[in-house]
Amino acid sequence: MIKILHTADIHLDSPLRSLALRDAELRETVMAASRKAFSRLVDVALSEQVSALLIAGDLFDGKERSARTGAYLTSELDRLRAAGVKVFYIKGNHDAENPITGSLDLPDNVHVFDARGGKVQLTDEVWVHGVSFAQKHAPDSLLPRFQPPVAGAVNVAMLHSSLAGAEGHDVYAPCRVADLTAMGFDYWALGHIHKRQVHNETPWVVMPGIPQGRDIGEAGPKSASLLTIESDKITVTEVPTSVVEFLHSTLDITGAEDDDALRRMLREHLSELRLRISTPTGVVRLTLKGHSKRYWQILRDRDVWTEHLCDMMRAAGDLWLDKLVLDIAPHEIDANSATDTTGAVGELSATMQAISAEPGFASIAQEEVTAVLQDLPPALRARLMPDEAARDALTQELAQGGVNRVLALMKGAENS
Amino acid sequence: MRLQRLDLDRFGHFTDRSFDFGTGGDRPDFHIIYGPNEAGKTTTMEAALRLFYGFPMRESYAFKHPRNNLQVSATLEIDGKVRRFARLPKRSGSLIDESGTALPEAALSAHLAGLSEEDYRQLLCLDDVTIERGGEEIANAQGDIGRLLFSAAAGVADLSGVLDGVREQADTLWKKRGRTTRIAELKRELAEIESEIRDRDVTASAWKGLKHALSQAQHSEEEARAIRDALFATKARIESQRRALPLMAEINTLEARIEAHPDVPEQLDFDPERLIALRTDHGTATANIERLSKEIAALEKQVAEITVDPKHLELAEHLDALHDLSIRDRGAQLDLTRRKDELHAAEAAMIRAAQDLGAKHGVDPQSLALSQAEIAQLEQARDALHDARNSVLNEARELADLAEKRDAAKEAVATTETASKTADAPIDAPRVTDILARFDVDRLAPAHATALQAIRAAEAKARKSLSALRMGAVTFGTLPPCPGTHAQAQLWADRHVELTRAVQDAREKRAEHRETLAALTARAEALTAGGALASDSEEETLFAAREARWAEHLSTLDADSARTFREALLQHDTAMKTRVAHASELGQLRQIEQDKAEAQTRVEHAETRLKEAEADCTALEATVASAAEQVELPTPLTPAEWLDWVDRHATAEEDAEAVSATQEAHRNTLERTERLCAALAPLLPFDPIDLDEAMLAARQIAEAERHQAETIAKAGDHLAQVQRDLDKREAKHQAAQAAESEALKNWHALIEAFLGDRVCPDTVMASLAPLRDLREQEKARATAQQRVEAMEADQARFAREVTHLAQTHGLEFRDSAAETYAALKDLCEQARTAHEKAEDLFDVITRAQAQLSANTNRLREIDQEVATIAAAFPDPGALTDIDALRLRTQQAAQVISERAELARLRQTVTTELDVEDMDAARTRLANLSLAELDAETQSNQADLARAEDALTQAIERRSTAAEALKQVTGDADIATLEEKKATLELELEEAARAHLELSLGHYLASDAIRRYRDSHRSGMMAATERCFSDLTHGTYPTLSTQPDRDAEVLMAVDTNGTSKRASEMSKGTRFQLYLALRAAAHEQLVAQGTCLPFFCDDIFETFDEDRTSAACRVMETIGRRGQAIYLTHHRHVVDIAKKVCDTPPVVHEI
Repeated sequence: MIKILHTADIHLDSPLRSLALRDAELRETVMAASRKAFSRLVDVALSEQVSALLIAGDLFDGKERSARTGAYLTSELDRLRAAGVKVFYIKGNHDAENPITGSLDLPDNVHVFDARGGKVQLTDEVWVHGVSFAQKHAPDSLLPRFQPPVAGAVNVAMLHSSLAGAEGHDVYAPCRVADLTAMGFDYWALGHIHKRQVHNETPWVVMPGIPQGRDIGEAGPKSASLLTIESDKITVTEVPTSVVEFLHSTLDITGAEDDDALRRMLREHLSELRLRISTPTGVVRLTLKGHSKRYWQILRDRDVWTEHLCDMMRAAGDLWLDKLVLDIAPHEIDANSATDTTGAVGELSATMQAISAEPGFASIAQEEVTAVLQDLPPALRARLMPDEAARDALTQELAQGGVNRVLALMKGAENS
Repeated sequence: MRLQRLDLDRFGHFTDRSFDFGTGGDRPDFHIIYGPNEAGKTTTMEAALRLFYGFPMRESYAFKHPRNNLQVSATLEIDGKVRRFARLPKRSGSLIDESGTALPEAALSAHLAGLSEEDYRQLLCLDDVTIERGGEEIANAQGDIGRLLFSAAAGVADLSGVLDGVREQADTLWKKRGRTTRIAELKRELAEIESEIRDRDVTASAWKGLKHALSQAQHSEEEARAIRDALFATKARIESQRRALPLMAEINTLEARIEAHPDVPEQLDFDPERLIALRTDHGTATANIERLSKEIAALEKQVAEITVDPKHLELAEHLDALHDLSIRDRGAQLDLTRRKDELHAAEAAMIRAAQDLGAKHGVDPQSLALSQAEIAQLEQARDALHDARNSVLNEARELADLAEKRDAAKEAVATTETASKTADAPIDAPRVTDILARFDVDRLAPAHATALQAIRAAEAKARKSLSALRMGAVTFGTLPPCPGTHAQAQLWADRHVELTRAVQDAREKRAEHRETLAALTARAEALTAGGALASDSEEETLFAAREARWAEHLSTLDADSARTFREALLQHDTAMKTRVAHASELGQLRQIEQDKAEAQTRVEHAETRLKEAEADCTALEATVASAAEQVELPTPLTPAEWLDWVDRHATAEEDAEAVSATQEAHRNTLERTERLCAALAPLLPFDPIDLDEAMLAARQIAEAERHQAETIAKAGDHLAQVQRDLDKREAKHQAAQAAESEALKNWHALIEAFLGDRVCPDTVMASLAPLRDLREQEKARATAQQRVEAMEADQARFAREVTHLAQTHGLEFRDSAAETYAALKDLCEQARTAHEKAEDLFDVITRAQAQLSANTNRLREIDQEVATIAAAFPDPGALTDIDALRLRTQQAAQVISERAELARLRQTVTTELDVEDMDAARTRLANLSLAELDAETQSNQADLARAEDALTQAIERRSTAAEALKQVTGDADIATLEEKKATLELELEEAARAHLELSLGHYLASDAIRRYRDSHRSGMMAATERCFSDLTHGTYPTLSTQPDRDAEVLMAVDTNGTSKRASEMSKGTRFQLYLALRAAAHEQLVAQGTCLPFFCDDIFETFDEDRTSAACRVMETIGRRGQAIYLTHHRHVVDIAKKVCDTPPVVHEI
């Protein structure tokens, strides 16, 4: 019986992105989470006495170029070397563009497949195949570069691929699951997509996902795959890896009569949430929906509620708020008065909407948006306003947000 | 919304009070609630507000029903539906429906257009306070309502404040070129972190370069080190050769020297120093032997010269036995004569003492020597006798003194008694003291003083009241009898007052009537003045004159008479004509005439009455005067004065009686006083003037009497005491005499017993000293005699013993035993000295012989040791002498040390040159010279310095490279910074978004509010303007606004175009403006779909009728749009309303 650990998309030293990290305590706890996750993987490899660790691409992150990342990696790989664990590594799109990749002196237990592809015998009955990305982009399938599987042995193939890909996204080494299964390999150790997915079981086609989610876009528990090969048969188990878990959560607050009731409801929800998160630390994006009598006050007092929520989350046990999203509507009884245009604020609201649609306002608003964004660091500016269309959309979005904010303040001032 | 029915279930002083406003119909919904003050109009209005907004915590209407029990309910028409609400004073669920189910607050509040209770009051619940306050605020655009009305009709209160807050918040996030905004701060932080990353991070490619640099540096370091090490080796070789060359020369010399002494042993087994010690010891021992042999011979010769007699040695023992005796013998020779002298002196003293005692001649003095005890007994008896005799003498002297004192006391008694008997008073006269005691003077004197005081006070009062009777010059020494009673006087006085008043009245009446008369006369004169109107009498006079002329004319019938008659006739006719013309005046005149007559009569009548009254008055005064004359009082006297005098007389009479009564009350005291004075009079040296003086004198006398009696008593007491002392003393005297005779008897008995008749007892009595002397001398005499006898015996025995010894040892007896004894002692001492000297010499000889033997032995030992040492050399026989041996030893030691030095040098050279043996060494050094080596050394040193520098530089380069590479660790610092950077970017994005939202929101809201205000303000103003114009009947047809700082102020413009602020208007006009503002607000609310009940609480009070009418019309207009409720206690308002309104309002009376 031999064991192999399969992971991919480690993106070493790629930072976590969440406003929750404003808190120094949390920052201290989840500092360098991608490293911690990788170290955990190495720990598992040692404790499970695996024969090999497969890294199916994107060991590094595209932009991170610190030599310290390489130094850290070398020390971790040395740990595996000391225990006689071999490491098989194919370069993904990120690795191909990353300068660290070329400057590494990897220990002799590491085998890096090149772009031409190749195979290495791990044990008498196990062979490992792999093909690396030569460049950042791989628009064509890499499957033709694989050598045929070794007959009479267990063949594990490593491939970094976006598979069939998603529309609007660049494709990386495209191929279909059916193409893979037809190749005759026993286990396809895939990489590239950050969400875990087992595409097929005979043969195995496994996308292990990123070991540590980096933002709310990579929410949910994260893991690696542990292969156990016993008399030509492969079983796969999931090994949890993340040190902090991101989570989306939605709560309907209809029925919370007053602030106290709402607080109670939030506390209960957070307690349940705590049970759902397996990592010691969780970062939550909480969306409140439903109807509330305190609609305007909640909107107006968003800061206060955010503060409250942070406290409650800490009380629930090392939960942190990524962001509070308010998707609530006024109470049914108030619905008319809140949306009607007969009341003064109602009329103002309608007027504001009307003004925001006027071209005069649009040009003023765009000017202002541009002025503010010009004052931001270029990278951020580029992200927020990549082109004119994006700027106009952003302006619209911000104007609507502004209307809501001011209305909330007006209503709040009126009804408080 | 409108109130269909309002129920004050429990509120204020109401219980289950209802107002039914009916269902709203076509008619205007205008209601007047009429009731007197305190009927509860305001309570009703408040009740409606409670229903809408709940009960406050401090409820001022909870005076009858406790707050917890308050309840207000109502039936409301809301959007056409009828709903029933009730309000309870509860914290939550205070709003309930008909079935008592709690309703959400919004069920009602949703229809209040977002008006707070305060807004409602200011806007739609007007009373004297709110109409003014709220109106002012509105007109000046102050407060919520003001802004409300200027900016919008409802619901956007404080929006400017909100917008200001928005702007402020946006500005804290971002501001153009702002340096303290949130975004600026975040950017700074970001820049810091980026710079830190730049400073601290190493890129992957740089890392690779570092690795390469290190390996190169390591390689060049190794090369440098190898070169340097080779140069060091060369240097070491040169140095060792340089050191070895001189050593090799030394080795050659030594080898030659050692070869000359082949037979020297390898090493010496002894210490060469030992030979020096042996040589010294040998010399010492030889010298000692020679010295000791000489000493022993000399000593033996001395011993042979000493001889000793053994018998003389034995003599010492016998002499020691006689030692004590010889000492006593020497003492006796010195002491015997003195002792014998003492014996004789004692015997002579005893004879003298016996003579002193008066002993008869031939009496042995020793027989008179008495013992110490016997002498003490005699002394005691003699002292007792002396004491008894002294006692008798003392008592006799005391006795004589006392007898003398008694006689003196007796005489004093007699003298005192005589003195007292020679006083002036007769023996049996009563003593003053007794009298004073009998009358109890201590009580009587104060009583007497009190009595006198009382009597004098009464008398003074009587005198005063008597003098008060004085009238004019008339005074009274004694009280005269009163000629009338008090009652009569009173009667007279009253009558006189009446009469005086009657006189007065009559006079006034008369004057009055006279005035009337004068007035009437004046009127008549006025009527008749100017002759225009003739009075009746004048007419009669004229008629008489006409008749007289006529008669004259008739008689004469001439022209003159005719003319005269004609004149008279004309005069009369004129008068008659005038009278006819003035018939009414004439009537008046006649009336006046009648009145005059009447007045005249009244005058006369009054005079009559006056006279009568005056007569009565005079009569009464005469009566009083006659009474006064009886007591000789001056007249005339008014009856009032008489009454006063009679009163004063009565007082004087009472006081006179009081004097008598006081005298009677104190008579007893006064009588006793008089008796006391009488009793004392004969005893006093003078006649006393009054009691005080008598008492003073009497008390002095009494004091003297008491003093005399005390003196007599004291003399008697003294005599008795002295007599008692005398008797006691006589008894003591007799006892002393008895004791004396007893002592004398005792004395004689003792003399007889101890001394018999050998001495005279009286001599002994005179002194016991001779007896004591005798006893002492006897003691001395006995001692001296005993000593003399003992000495003489010792002397005899010593002489005997010494003689015997002298004979035994053949010594001639000398002059005395003592001298012989001394000669014997000398002989013995000589023998002993010789013997001891011989013994000492023997000891010295023995010790010298022992030393001699020891030195001889030592010499032998030294010889043996020298022989042993010499055995180490090849020819021991030639080396018996120590000095020869030492020489040989020194030579051998030299050779041995040279051999060792040679071995060491050889070792050094082979080691330095790193060769196997000396042969190799010689080969190595062959052909080498120091000069060549020096040259080589210098060349080597230069090479080494260069190599050393090269190595140092190589090491530096290597360690720098290693250090640089070491900096690249696997720590997460940079990763953490990257993470911070990512977070900061997110924060920046958030801040930017928030700022833009706020800023754009602010822009939109400001613009929207501006538009809203523009659209709403004009409608509002128009409504107010219309209403105000109606209310003022067109006095103020238009309104305008005036900017005031950032607000606007409302102005009313009159028909002349003059603008006025509210504060410049009269109160009534101002109230009209304020009402118009509210009516307009109500209209706006209604236009916006909010219809709320409009309350006014008697605000028309300051309005005149016209204004009230107009105001009622306004209320009716409001009632057409919604519900208007006016509360008043003025009936006229109700009436006016009924009159002016198109449809009369519904009136509810409380």
